[in-house]
Amino acid sequence: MLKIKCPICGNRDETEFSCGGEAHIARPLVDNKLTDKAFSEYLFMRDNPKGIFLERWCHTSGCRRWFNLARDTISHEIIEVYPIGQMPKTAKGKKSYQANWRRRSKAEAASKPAKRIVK
Amino acid sequence: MAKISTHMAIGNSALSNRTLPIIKKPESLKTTQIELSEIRHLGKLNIRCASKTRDTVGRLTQCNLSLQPNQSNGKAERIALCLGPDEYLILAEQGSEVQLEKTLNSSDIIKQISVTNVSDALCALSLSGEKVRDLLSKGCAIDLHPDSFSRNQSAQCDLALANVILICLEEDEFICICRTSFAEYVLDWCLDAGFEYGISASAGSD
Ligand SMILES: [Zn+2]
Repeated sequence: MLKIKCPICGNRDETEFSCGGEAHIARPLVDNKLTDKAFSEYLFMRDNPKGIFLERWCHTSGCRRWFNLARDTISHEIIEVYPIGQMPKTAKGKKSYQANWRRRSKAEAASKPAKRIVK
Repeated sequence: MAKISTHMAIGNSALSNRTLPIIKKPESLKTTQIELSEIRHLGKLNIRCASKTRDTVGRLTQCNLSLQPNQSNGKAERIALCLGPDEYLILAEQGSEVQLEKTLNSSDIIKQISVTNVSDALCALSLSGEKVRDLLSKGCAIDLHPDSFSRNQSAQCDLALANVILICLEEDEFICICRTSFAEYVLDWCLDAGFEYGISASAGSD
């Protein structure tokens, strides 16, 4: 069982939480044309790394608030807990963020306004 | 005239269809060490408001809302709990919640806040006695030692798999708020888990 430190309630048992899967998946903007293949990658494909993974968790039985968590999928060590809408602050967390294939996906590029996409 | 079943009568409460009091204790014990009763018809308002409207809501409800999450304003007539950074639960005297709701709904901040009357959705059980922490610890994973869970603290957690809010009023006095539909389950669990300490459950007063 994991002990997860909810940013609001403090240390609680894993059974009080629900995992919302991979964090930092940006939705492509409707104005940006995207192929079905690129959109399906955004919609269906999830990363499953061996090592540090950035996940969303919700404290379902407690404060019912969402937060992000960087977890080692081998050792289950929790590297850091950080708020929704923010980026990881630890070096390991940042590295995991950059290492994700999604950073180089067409869908993520299309999540920003079109004029900022470098063609 | 058709007979109205007691279950449908006005003034019904979460434990109405149980015959109370119930006393559970081993024969070796002379007295019970835990008292459980329902705080019947306690008004409950769930309020969502950001920090800029918090003081106004506090003034309108006559509650001090400058609380951290999982903190309560203590053993007052009207207890306020902070459930999260922008969420409060107010436990108001029976009947007063309707007027409180009206006051908030007709205030000029109503577009910035949300008020939900959850009086009948939730049920408040009063638990007291020197063994009450031992009882709750059997079904609750949070640390209930007086050093880490003391007066004016509250916690939203699981008690024997049921989602509850625990409020510590005094060292050996708690309020346990659960879903009304879970009230009988929580009662039965408490009677079972509290047997070794001796537990008496009463219907409680209005
Ligand atoms: Zn929490």
